[in-house]
Amino acid sequence: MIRVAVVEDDPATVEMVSNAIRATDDITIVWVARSVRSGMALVVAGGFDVLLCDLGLPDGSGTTLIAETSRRFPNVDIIVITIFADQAKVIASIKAGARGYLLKDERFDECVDGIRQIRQGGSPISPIIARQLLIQLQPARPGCTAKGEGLSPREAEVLNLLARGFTYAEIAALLTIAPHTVGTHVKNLYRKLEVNSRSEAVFEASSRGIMDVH
Amino acid sequence: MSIERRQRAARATTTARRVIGIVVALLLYFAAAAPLAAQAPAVSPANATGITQLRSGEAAQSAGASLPVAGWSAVKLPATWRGVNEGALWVRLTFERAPGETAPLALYSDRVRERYTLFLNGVDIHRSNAGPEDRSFGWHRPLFIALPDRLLHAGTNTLVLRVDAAQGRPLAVGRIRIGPDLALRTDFRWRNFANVGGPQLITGVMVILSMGALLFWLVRPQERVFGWLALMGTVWSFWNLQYFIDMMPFDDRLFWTLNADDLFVLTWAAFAFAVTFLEIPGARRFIRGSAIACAVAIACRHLLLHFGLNDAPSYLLVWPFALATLYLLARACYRAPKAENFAMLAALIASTLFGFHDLALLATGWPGVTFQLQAYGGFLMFLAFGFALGRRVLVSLATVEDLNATLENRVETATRDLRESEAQRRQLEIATAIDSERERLMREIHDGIGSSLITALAVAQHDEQSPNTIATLKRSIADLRIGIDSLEPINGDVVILLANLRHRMDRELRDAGLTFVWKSMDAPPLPWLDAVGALHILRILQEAIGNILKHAAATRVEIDCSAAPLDGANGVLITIADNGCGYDPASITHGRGLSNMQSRAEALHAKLRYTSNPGHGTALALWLPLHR
Repeated sequence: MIRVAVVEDDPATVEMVSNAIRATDDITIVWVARSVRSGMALVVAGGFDVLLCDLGLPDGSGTTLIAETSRRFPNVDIIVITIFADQAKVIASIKAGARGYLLKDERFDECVDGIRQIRQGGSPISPIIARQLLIQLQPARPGCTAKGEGLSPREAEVLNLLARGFTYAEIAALLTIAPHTVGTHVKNLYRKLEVNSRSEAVFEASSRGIMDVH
Repeated sequence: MSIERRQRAARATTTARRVIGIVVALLLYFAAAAPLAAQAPAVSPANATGITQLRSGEAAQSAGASLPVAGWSAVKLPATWRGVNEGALWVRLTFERAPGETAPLALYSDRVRERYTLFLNGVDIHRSNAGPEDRSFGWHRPLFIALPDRLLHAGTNTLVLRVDAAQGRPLAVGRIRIGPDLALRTDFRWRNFANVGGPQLITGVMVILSMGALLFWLVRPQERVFGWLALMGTVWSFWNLQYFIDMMPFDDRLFWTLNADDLFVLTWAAFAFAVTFLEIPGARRFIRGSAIACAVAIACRHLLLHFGLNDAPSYLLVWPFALATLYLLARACYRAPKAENFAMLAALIASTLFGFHDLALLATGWPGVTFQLQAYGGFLMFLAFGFALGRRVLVSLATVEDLNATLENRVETATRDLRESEAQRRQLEIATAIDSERERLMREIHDGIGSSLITALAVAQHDEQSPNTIATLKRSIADLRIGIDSLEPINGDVVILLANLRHRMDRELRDAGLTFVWKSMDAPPLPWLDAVGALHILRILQEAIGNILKHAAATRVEIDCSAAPLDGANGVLITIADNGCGYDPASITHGRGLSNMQSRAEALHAKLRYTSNPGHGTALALWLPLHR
């Protein structure tokens, strides 16, 4: 049974998610929060496998909750609920610890597929975000990996194809790998981006003398 | 710094080129003048025949005005007498004149010290002074006298020299030669130049140079080394007076005392110069101490003289300074083997050797280089020290120039950097402004109209509103999404636009049962592609895919995007082809959709073409120029 926690202030969206999940027998909602404050108390208590989180909450940004969850429970899969999946918001969420996103659209009832997919180790990605990953994960200079992990050749290949609009299935056929391996790659790349952005923050902080690193 | 080294090398090359140029010019000049020189009458008197060397004679002391009768003793020339306090010294020599010889004869001596009267066969033919009241002196001058022919006779002729000096100073008679006038006169000219003219000349030069150094020091008192050089030059000039001056406006005893004391001051000044120039730690202490020692030495000399003793031991007291200077210069050469250090050391050694040479020349019969060298030694030292100073000034000038060049470079670099960073800052400002505007728009759409549309759609679906309402809402959301995609920063990448469009429409296409054939997506970025352009492209493609979904009844859509030239211009070609029913272009009036697409293509400076045949599907080709 996949235990899902939901943070969302729009009742219509909550209703759609609830309806979709109630129709399954392998997924269950453990709690729903409507603000950062109430969400934080629940997040600290734990006891969920997947966090569905909206970003624009009445009392702040959902990234606070995402970061907190990622820090406390590395095994929880965090999914961002977004209307447009625009690059800035998705990248910011991934850096905070998200591993996937759900589009708030007419097929929102299909969110259960996304939840199952991410539980199995695969993450969704759009070409624009793939392109951003290519830019942000590619080490600026060869051999310069001091600030974090770079891309492996295979990952770079996968990202390139994703950025050029190929689907998971097409990429799997081109590279002769299983389609879900592509999703695993993507999830792994999200993790790298998160780790790198965190070490970058540490690097920035220590180089500005804010933090003492021994 | 390599710039400095290059500049220094360039300067050295310029100097070398100049020296070579001067040498070549001189050689050419002398080559041209050589024929003229050859025409000049050759004078080679040194080995001319008929010269008689008078090496021996007789000498006697007498206070009388006429030739002494007794007391003659044999003497070998050159000779020196000391302690002749009373009267004068008489030297008698004889020489033979062959019968019938008529060539004019002359007498030449390299030195007679100091005052003299010359008698030929008993007749007084030359006096160097006006008599006992005349205070003139001169120990260093050569002597040349044309012998009056009427006083000469065949056979033995007698020459008598009466020599005296004030205050019992030493007397001397050098080598005496009798011979043809021209040959001896030439000898005399050379000797007179070496003994008198040369020292006069260089002393004059040294006085002027010392004045220059003194003025410089007065203007810049912190440059002490110039003061020491001026002192050295002045003192040495004073020392050199004895070689050519024959009268002082004051008591000649004072002159000779000052002249002797001069040597102490000179040694001290040279030491002070070396200590200052070489920047020896504690230089001022050394100079003060040595000044006291110098004063003590001078006092010792005067004490010795006062008690009627030989003053020679007091001269030993200058040796520590001389040796210290020698040591300092030698150490400087060892530590920094530079030309100026070697020049100073060599000049000091040469000057010291010159002093020994002159002592030997005066005290013994040793001929040496036949004339006094010490007058030149001082000049040599002055020149070497001046050269060292000049080198230092040149080096500091070069350093200043280098510094200026370096500073100019730095200012230039800084200005350029500033300009670049200013340009970057402005670009960044623009980018930031665009970003923040974009973010504001995004937030507005996202949280405002976007949320409302989603909610409206949810409500419409929940309330089971008319399919038309739901479809309109869905289309509105899709349009909004495409609008937002067009705002994403993509750096002119058309492929990303296509890819994202496919990603957005993926499920819709799959639901419609269409198979997508995604060809190799490879195209160069379009530098001109901005958000407006991106929106035009997306709308054209959205419309095209929408048309396929609505009208084509196709099962397969091929999309390709690649670099392709059109009419000689580079560009990117996007093709969308389906295998649907197609249409007859002639039978169809262009709908609003198609004309919209055309006007968008025109706004892009792009070319849009639809080709279709009934039963053979439809193909859309959108060509975008690389530059516009």
